[in-house]
Amino acid sequence: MTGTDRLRVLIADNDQAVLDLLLLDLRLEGHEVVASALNGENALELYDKHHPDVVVVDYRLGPGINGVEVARRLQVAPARVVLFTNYITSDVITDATAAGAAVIEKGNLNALRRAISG
Amino acid sequence: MTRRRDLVIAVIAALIVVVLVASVVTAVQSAERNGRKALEDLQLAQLQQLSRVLDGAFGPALTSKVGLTNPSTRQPWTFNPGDATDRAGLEVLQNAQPTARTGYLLVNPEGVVTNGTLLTNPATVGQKLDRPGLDGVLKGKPAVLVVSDKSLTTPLPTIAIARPIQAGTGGPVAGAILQESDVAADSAFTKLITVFRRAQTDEYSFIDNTGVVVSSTNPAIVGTKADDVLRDTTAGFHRHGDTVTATTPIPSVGWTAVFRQRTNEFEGDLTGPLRSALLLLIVVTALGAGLTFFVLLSRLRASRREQKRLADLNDTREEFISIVSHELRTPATGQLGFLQTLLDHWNELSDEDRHKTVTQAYANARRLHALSRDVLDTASIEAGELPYAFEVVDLVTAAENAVHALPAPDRELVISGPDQPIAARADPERIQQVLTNVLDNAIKNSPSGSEIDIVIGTRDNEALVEVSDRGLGLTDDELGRTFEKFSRGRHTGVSGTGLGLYICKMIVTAHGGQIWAERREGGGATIGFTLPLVSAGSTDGQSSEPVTVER
Repeated sequence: MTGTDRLRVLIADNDQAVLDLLLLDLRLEGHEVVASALNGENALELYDKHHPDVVVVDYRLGPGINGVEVARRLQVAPARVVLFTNYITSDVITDATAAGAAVIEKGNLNALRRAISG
Repeated sequence: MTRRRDLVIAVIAALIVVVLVASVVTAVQSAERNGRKALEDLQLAQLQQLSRVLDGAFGPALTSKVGLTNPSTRQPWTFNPGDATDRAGLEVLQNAQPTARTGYLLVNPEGVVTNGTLLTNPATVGQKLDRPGLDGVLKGKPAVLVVSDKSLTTPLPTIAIARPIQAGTGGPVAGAILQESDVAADSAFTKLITVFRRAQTDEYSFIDNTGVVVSSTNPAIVGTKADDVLRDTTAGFHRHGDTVTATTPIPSVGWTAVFRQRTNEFEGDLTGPLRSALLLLIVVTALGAGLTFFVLLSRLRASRREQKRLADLNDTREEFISIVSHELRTPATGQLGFLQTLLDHWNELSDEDRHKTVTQAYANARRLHALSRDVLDTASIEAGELPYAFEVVDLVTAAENAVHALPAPDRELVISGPDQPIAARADPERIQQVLTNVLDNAIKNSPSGSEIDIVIGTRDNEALVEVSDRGLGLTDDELGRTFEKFSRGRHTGVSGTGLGLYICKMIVTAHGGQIWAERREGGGATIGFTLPLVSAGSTDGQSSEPVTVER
């Protein structure tokens, strides 16, 4: 399951346990997690700093902007955005898709790995 | 739907009330009309009866033969002015009516007075009698002459019963005999009709064909020209402003009998009870309508309350489903993720990483278990099916167990309590759950690395537990909602179903204790609760355990 290319990934989630999991799994998948953020604003700052290939972001990020808004603001950026969330509704899917982001359910790690590798 | 139905019912009820009131008013009005008509008819009939009686009295007087010849001589009148035999004949007639205040006159065919009794001025004999209607009498037609103030036998105005005297039936008129009758408030006739009066304002009057009041129960108008109302001589019943009149002719004398009374007095006896009945009916109807309205309004309100309650219940259910499904997903998907990583990368992982990953999967599994237990417990509590097995529980030990069971809390948990056990009567499983939930709440609402105090003791003969954090504390709103279902702290990143403290409250209350939230001095919040203390040397409730608990 090791990815063909080593990608630079930014992860954003307000749940530390999820960040721990992604950090571990994406490293084992052969990617480099360049930064992890606990909220949306922080994710955008870290993006500007690291310019990763992929941004994995939860929909719900606590107070501040949500994951779809992060995707929207990164729409013109070259990075691929993956919305990795438990909060899957038709509205979220529509908005995320319109912002050019893929939507992956949190329970499906295999799907996330595929979405990151493109 | 219910509102529309209620509205329809209200409109129908209002219509029924309106129709009822309208029909009652119509019925009363109709009864009033009928009653009034009956009164009018009765009054008119009475007046007509009176007129007929008068007619019956005047008729014979006009056609009477008495006095057509000299009663003294039994010969025809001589009509010689001042004739002694004529005079004696008139005296006979006069003496037949000893109380009369007026007298008799004889006039010749030229209308000249030839003799008379009770003459106020003897010089009038030989003078022509100036009395309207006399001409007709002298042409052979008997009549009651209209009121005149040129009476010869009294200073008062009089009418006069005048009869022609003819030599043989249909022969030439030899003269006339007149009997004057005074028109005055105290005349015999006026006194006679006074007995018909029954009220304050009723009035019987007789008017001759020139409009002069011949007689009246109202003394002020006798002998005067009748006013417009009285002169409305059309036979029948009339209404003039605030008075009613009944008019009927007395044909034999060409008079008019008039009854007059104030309308309110005339109808008073009739319309009074009817109006009272109408008022009563209106009051009763209004009360009925008010009552109906009130009942409908209460029904409407109750129905709206019920609708709101159902809507609230529905909202609560939806919120419950939304929160629960999302909150349950988080540990479920977390667990899946860690296990999948573990499976996919088992060989690449160090022992330490494997241990860490399994630990995190375990933590998620525990979280999932706790949440699902909260959800199921809430359902059981609300169904009244949460079972309790009461024993004697040492709260200090229970608190220690709860602290040890918390996975890496990242807080400094400090238990302070007495050396001896605090023995409470409680279900150990449930108290463990309460302690865990309260500690979980404190951890979630306080910053990493901060201290959480757990103080155990007694107060007012009850076991007391207080858990204080150093978080953001509670707003007034939060203080009021802490133990409500789905109530969650505003602290950044605080998640959960919002059921934990709600369950705590239910469990503590079921134990007979109390639970509360308050602000901690110096910042943060304190959740405290009490439980019944088991006093030394006694056994309590269903428990047969010894009071002393091993530590």
